[in-house]
Amino acid sequence: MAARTPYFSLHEIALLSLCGALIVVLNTTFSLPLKIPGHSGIYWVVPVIVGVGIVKKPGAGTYIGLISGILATFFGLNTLHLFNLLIYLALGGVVDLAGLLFLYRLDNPAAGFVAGAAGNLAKMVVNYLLQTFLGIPAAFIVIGIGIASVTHLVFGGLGGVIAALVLRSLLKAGVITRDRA
Amino acid sequence: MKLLSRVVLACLLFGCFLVGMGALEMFGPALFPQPVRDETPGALLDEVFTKAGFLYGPQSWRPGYDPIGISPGKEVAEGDAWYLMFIDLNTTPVSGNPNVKQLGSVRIRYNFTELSGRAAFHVYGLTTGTTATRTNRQIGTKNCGFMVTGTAPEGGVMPAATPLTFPSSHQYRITLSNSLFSDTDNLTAGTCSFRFIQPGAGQGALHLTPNLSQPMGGITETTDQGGIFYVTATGANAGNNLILLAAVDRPQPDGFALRVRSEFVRTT
Repeated sequence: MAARTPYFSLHEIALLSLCGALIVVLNTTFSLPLKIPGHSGIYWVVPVIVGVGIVKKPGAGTYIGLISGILATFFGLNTLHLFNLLIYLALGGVVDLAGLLFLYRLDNPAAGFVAGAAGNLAKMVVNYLLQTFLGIPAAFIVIGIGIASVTHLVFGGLGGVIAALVLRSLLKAGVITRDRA
Repeated sequence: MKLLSRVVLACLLFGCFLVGMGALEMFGPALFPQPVRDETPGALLDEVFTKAGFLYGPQSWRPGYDPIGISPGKEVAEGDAWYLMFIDLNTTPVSGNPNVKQLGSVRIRYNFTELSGRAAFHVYGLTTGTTATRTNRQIGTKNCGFMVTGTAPEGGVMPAATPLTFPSSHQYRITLSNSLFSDTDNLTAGTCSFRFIQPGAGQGALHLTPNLSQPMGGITETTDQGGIFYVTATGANAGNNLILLAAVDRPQPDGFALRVRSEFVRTT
């Protein structure tokens, strides 16, 4: 009887898990004093897009989101605790969708921008929904939501461009190939 | 569909999303009116405290990672015997990026009746998660405090006061003096927690000032038995609620009263 082939290979699982852990490490280590909402998107979308761009399978981003969400919950990165899972899953899931939309050509800076911006905006939307769910009055949440959306888009997009350039460098160096990880 | 077409499609979706969020920001205040926190327009706290409100003391220090002095600008003086009262102001100053927040300070109106000796005010900002409780800096540059001196004769004992214990965990459980025993079924008073992580943590985020044009304040000493001062905030996190510490340096007469009113004052 033939052995059942797992959806993700061992090295894909290892790579995606490392990307998930890297998000938490970046979030813990980097603290840019910008005081602009969503600015952290410039670095935390990078591992997700790089992971999805290398593995090129539906669910890769969601898996990275799951790992980083679990780690963020355990390490208590913010006050949302278990709800961090939803934020990171949304981020990963949306990057997955962007990967499907662009047929995993995430090494293209334009595609990277869209993927990063969409991921960072998904994180923002889930964050606001959670705050509403947790009882914060909508009157306070909508203050500055328009500007916050723009900054999330810009910083997430810039992170996506960085990820695309990283993927392009890996392709050029022959570390990864365009058709297969 | 070509890659460029997909990018254009995604940009169109982003545009729709941003327009939606912009509309939400523009019409949000009309759609979601701000909740009223207090029946009294303007004042978020308006309460009169008597000498029975001093629940802590006599002691020479106030809560911090290490004990902090109470007399504004001074270190802990062993001979001092202050009596402490913690008051929930039901509001907090807001600092940060003025483009994304409505910044503001807290205006405190105080009125003493029969104050004996010195009364010092300090503030604590309650935080959540791993963030240290905020307070005004006691010593060094940009330190601040507010002190009022009264001339009433010294009183007898302070009936409700017992010294606060210094916890080795640097976490304090504080009983508030607002509407003591407001829960009449269980006769419980309101409490809050102060949490300090490392020496100096949380100091300097909040400031006391008599004038908003000098938001860092400095040390103010006055003999006016009634007046106004402001609590301002700098930094990203001023805390989510403000606790006022009122301390007096000797037992107060039976006629002592302190009326405190707090209001949020928008600065942007």
